[in-house]
Order: sequence, then structure tokens, then C-alpha cells
Amino acid sequence: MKMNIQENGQNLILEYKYGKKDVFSSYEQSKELIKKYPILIKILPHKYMDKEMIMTFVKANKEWIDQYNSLEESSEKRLTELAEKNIIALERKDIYNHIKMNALIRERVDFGECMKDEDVLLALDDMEGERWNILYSDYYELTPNNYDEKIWEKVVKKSPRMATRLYSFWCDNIGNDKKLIEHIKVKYKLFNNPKNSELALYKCFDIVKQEEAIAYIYLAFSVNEGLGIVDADHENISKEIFKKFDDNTKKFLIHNFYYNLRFMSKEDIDAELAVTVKENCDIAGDLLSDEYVLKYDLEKSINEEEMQKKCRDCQKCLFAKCKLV
Amino acid sequence: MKTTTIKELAQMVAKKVGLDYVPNTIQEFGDFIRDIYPQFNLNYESLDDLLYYTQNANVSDINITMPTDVLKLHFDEVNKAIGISESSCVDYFDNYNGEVYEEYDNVKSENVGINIVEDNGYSVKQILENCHELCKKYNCAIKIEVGSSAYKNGYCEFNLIWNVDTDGIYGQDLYFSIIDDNGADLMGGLYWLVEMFREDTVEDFETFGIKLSYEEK
Repeated sequence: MKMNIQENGQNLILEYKYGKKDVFSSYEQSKELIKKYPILIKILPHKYMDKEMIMTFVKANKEWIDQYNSLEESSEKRLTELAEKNIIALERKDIYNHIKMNALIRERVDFGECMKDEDVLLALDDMEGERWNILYSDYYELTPNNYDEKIWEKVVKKSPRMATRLYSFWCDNIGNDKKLIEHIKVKYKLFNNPKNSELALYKCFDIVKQEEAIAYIYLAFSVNEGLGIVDADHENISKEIFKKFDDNTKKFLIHNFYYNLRFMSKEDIDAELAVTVKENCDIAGDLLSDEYVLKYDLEKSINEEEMQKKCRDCQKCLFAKCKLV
Repeated sequence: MKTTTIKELAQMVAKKVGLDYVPNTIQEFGDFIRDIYPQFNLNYESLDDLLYYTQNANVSDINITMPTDVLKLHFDEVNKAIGISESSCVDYFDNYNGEVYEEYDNVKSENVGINIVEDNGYSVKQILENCHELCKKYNCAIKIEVGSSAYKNGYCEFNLIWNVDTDGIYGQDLYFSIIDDNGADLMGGLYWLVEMFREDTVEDFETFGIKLSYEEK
């Protein structure tokens, strides 16, 4: 019994992949198809992949992604409840599937040389929308073949959060450049066999200068290690690096992630900063000195675990907004 | 209910989505199943989870029951034969007290059930043949159940048990039935089939003598 299947993007991919049918006949026809079914970018022939085509894809796909993101937001709580009862059921599954059949959701595409274009990079970053994650780019692969440092300097100035993608690229690739490693080791006096993640951090500091981008790189470094706020060894490295920042960057890092306050000496925390932390951070009682804890009647967590949970649940600083924990 | 083959099943399901396609291998069939899932308004990930939670089973599991002393005394050999260390998830069932252990040292009963939960890259054929060699060498018997914790009340019915001894490999009423409902029953059945035999060739699958049957609901 054959089913009655409506045309959709996934269906066209199946015909292309398994039915050996030509889906794309000309540039203009391809553009119309991409507009209708952005998922087809996965199989678009490279000869048609140019800036205009990618911009068409981004515009069309973004609408689907926004819809998907809002569905996920609203379903998350319900899904957790269901999972706790060992029942897995995606609510509004039909809508989810409809979106997934036509849009590119969390899949990476090789955009080739087009990745060396500032507008393309910014558009792809913007497409990630509300559920942007500090660690993962869901839509593009950055490789030595499509990496252009000068372009990345520019895009990070415009969208500081993209510094995390730059950092991720260097984590993956710095190991292949012995000369660069030696240069960074000497320049930053890193003589204790630094890991690639630490070398990548300094390499990125050489490329980007503005505080917000540096903060993103530093946060990505913390998370990239898979250690974040919980591991003692990494805590030491993080602290050492933190101490090297100038006062402005330190303040910036603290204001974006109050947990960094633990790297400040108590005497450097002035009253103004203490008030800001008290008002904006759920673990202020754990981070501020006893003087402020008493003065503002703050609560301390019972243990490390409770403190980390409170930090995770709090949605007030950049760390939380990036869904790092 | 009619008897069918892997390739016929693949062709049949391809036709449903308007394609004329025959996979060359079971792995290709598996990739194809993944690709066409959404066309049946099913979500691959959630179906996998659903099977796991409702049946308390993992589709790729395989249970091997053998004498405990063979395992304990010749672990390296057994490991090589069935790929224990190649799987990221293995546990050991003790018949004596019904406990499941992470370490085989704790097993007290005469026979131990080795449950390989995650795929280890070994084909069913390879495991059967290797177990036969172990039986001949150590004069013992081994029972092999594929999809061991997931029979008779899932999306499809199947029985995939082999008894191996020094003389040979004997299938025990081997069958796999697929019900075509144009939805979860069909795709769930196919999913299990390709997952369990993903490392086997189509030709080897045919030599198992499994009665593969298909029926429209």
C-alpha cells in the first residue's frame, strides 16, 4: 500500500539520494527550491553555492528555526515531566516533523569558500537565534580551508559571541601548527606543557581585542575543557588566566558571570561591586566576603552542590543565558 | 502472513515513499530507514526512546550465556570471541542470586549471562562462529539470544535464540514477524531488524534460516 505523501524538502532529498533524480536544474530554480525547502541546502551542488544563495537559505530557514525554538521552549517543561515518568512523547510531534522535513535544524553544512565572507558569517550566526549555544555551531563547519583570519577579526567585532567559534576552530587546529605553538608559548611564557585548549585561548586573545569577545572566549575555554565550574585543576588554570587580565576585563568577566568573583581577592571587591552582585546573583552569599554577607543578610549554600545548582538555575548573567550549565 | 526477504522488505517500504530502491547491505537499509522515518510522521529518536522505556530493551543487545569458569579462566579469549571490551556497555547476570554485576568476578553461579548492550562492531554470524570455536575448545555449551530482552510484546514479534555446543550451531525456532500498519509497527519492526543485524551481510542473514514474515494490518 503506497502512502499519500505531500511534497516536502525531506522527500526531495530522498528522491535525490535514493531515486537518483536531479532536483536542481538551474540556479534560479534552485534558489526557489531553497526558499521553499531550506533543508535542501544539504544537497545543493557546489556550483550553485554562492553568497546570494546562502542569504536566501538563511532568510527562509530562520523563520522555521524561530518556530522550532519557540516550540522547544514551550515543550521543555512538559517533556521533562514526561521523561520523569519514563514516557517519551514529543508534544506537537506533527509540527516538529513538519519543520524537520523542510528546514535545516541543527545540522552542519559545508558552505565552502563562502565562509570567507563577512556577511555570510554574520547571517549564519544570526540564524542560530535564541537557542544559540556557546560551544556548538549547529549550522556550519569551520575548517582551515574556509578560515580567513582577517574576516574573523571583523565579524567578532560586530558579533562578539562569534569569538567562541573562533576559539573552537583554534582548539581543533592549533595542534597542527608547531611554529605557532612555540610562538605562543614564548610570548605568554607557557612552559608547563599547556593543552591545546589553553594555547587556543591565547591565540584568540591575539586576534580579538574587545572585552566582550574576550569574555566569550574565556567562558568557552572554561566549558570547552568540560570542567566549567566544578573541577579543581581547571579552576587553577582559569584563576591564573583570570589574574592576567587587566582590571576592566576582570570587571567585564565578573559582570557577565558573577561566579568569576571567586578569582578576585576579597579586598579588591569594592562596595559598589558587592551591591551589584548582591542584586544580580543568586549565589552572592557564597561569593562575597563575610562582611557583605552579614551586612546584606545573604544566605550561604549548604554545600558546593547546592551552590552549583543555584548557579545553574539562576538566569541572570551571560553564563546562564548561554545555557552553559 | 507471507515469508519474505530483507531485500523484498526494503523494496516494499521504499515503494511506500515513492522510491524504487534496493539497498546492498543491511547497514544501507538502516541508513535508509533513518532517512524515511519522518515520512511516516515518526521521530527516530523518540521511537528509539519509546522502545527503550516501554520494553526496557535496547535493540542492539545480545545475551550470551556460558559456563562462568570458561569466562573467568579464559577471559581474554572470550573477550576476543564476543567483543566484550569493544562494547561501551556490558554487564554480567548471576543466575544464583539474580543480580547483575559490572564485574564478572562477582558472579557465583555455574553459568553467567553476558549482556552486551551497546553495539561492539561484531556481526551475529561472527559471534555464533566464535562461540562454536570456544565450545569445541572448552567442551561446553553456549546460548545466544539476540535482542534478548525485547521479544514478543514490542512493535514486532521475534525469536532469535541459538544454542551452540561442540557439534554445531542450532537455531531455536527462529522467526521475525513484521506487521505493516504504515506507521510505528512497520517502522519499529524494520528498525529492530536492521539494528540487530547491522554488522551482518544480507547473504549471511539468509543463511541463518530465520523465518522472516510480513503481514498488512
